[in-house]
Amino acid sequence: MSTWSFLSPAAVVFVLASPAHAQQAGSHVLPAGAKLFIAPMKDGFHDFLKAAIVDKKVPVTIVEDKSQAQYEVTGHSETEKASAAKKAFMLNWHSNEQASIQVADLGSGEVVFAYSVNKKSSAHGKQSTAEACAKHLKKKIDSRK
Amino acid sequence: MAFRTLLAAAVVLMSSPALLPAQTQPAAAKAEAGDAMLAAPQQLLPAGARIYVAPMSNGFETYVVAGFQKKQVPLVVVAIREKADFELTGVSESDKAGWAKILFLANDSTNETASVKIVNLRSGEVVFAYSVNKGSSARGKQSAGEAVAKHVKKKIENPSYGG
Repeated sequence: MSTWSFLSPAAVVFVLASPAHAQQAGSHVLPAGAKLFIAPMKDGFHDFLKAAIVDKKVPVTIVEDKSQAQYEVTGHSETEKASAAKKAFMLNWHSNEQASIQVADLGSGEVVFAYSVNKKSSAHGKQSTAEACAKHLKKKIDSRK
Repeated sequence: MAFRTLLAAAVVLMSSPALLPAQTQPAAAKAEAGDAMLAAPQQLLPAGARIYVAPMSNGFETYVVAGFQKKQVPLVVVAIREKADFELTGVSESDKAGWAKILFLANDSTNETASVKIVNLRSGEVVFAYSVNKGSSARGKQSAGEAVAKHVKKKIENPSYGG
C-alpha cells in the first residue's frame, strides 16, 4: 500500500472536520432560472418585491403555486410615515422604510440568501426597499457563490 | 562505544512515560487534562451547526438571518425546525421618535431593543444569550439584527465569550 493511499482518507476527514470547511449563513448557490414562490408579507410588500424582481431583471421565475417552487421568499416590511412634526420642522414628507427578506430552499430547508435594508426618508417608499432587495438577490445569483 | 550506546539507551528509557512511577502517571495525566480544559472551553455552539430562527414580533427573525449573512456567521440557517440542532428565539421592540425628539434633536431615528437566546434542541441547554439596546438606531431593526449576529459569531470563534 502506498503512502498516499493510506493518507488520503485521513486527509479527507481532517479537511471535513476543519472549521474552515464550515458553511456560512447563505453560502449556498442560488442558481439562475430557479423557481421562486414569494410568500405574502405585511402591507403587500410581496407585490412590490415581484415588481422589483421584474424591473431589475433578476434571472428567476416567479410562481404563484408554492408546490411548483424550488425556493420560498419570506420577509417583513415596515413603513413609518412622516409625522406632523417631521413635516413641519424638517419639511420632509418621505417615509422611513425597512424590509428584510430570506430565501429558503424548499427541499433542504436551508436559507440560501438573506438581506435587510433600511431607508430613511425613502424616495419611493416600499418600491425603493423592494428594489434594493431585488438588486442584491440578482447580485447573489450573478456571483454564483 | 558500548558505554555510549548504553548511556543513550538509559537516557531514552528514563525519558519514557511508561517508566514513570505508577502513582505519578494518573496525576500528571489529570493535570494535563485540567490544563486543556482551562485552555479550550467546551464548544457549545460549533461552527457549521444548523440553526432555526423562530418567528419573533415585528418579523425580527428575518433581520437576524440577514445579519448572519452580512456578518458571515459560520452557521447553516434552516427554515424547518426539525432539521435544526439549535433554535434561536427572542423578542424585539421598536420605539418611534416622538415630536419632541424630532423638534429638539432633529432626529427621527427609532430606539431598538432586542433580546435573543440560542437553545440546543437535543439537550435543551441555553448555549448563548444576548440583548441589545440601540438608542437612535442608525438603521432600525437592521442594526439590532447585525449586533446579534456579530455577537453570535464572537461566541462561535471564542467559546469562552459570554455574550
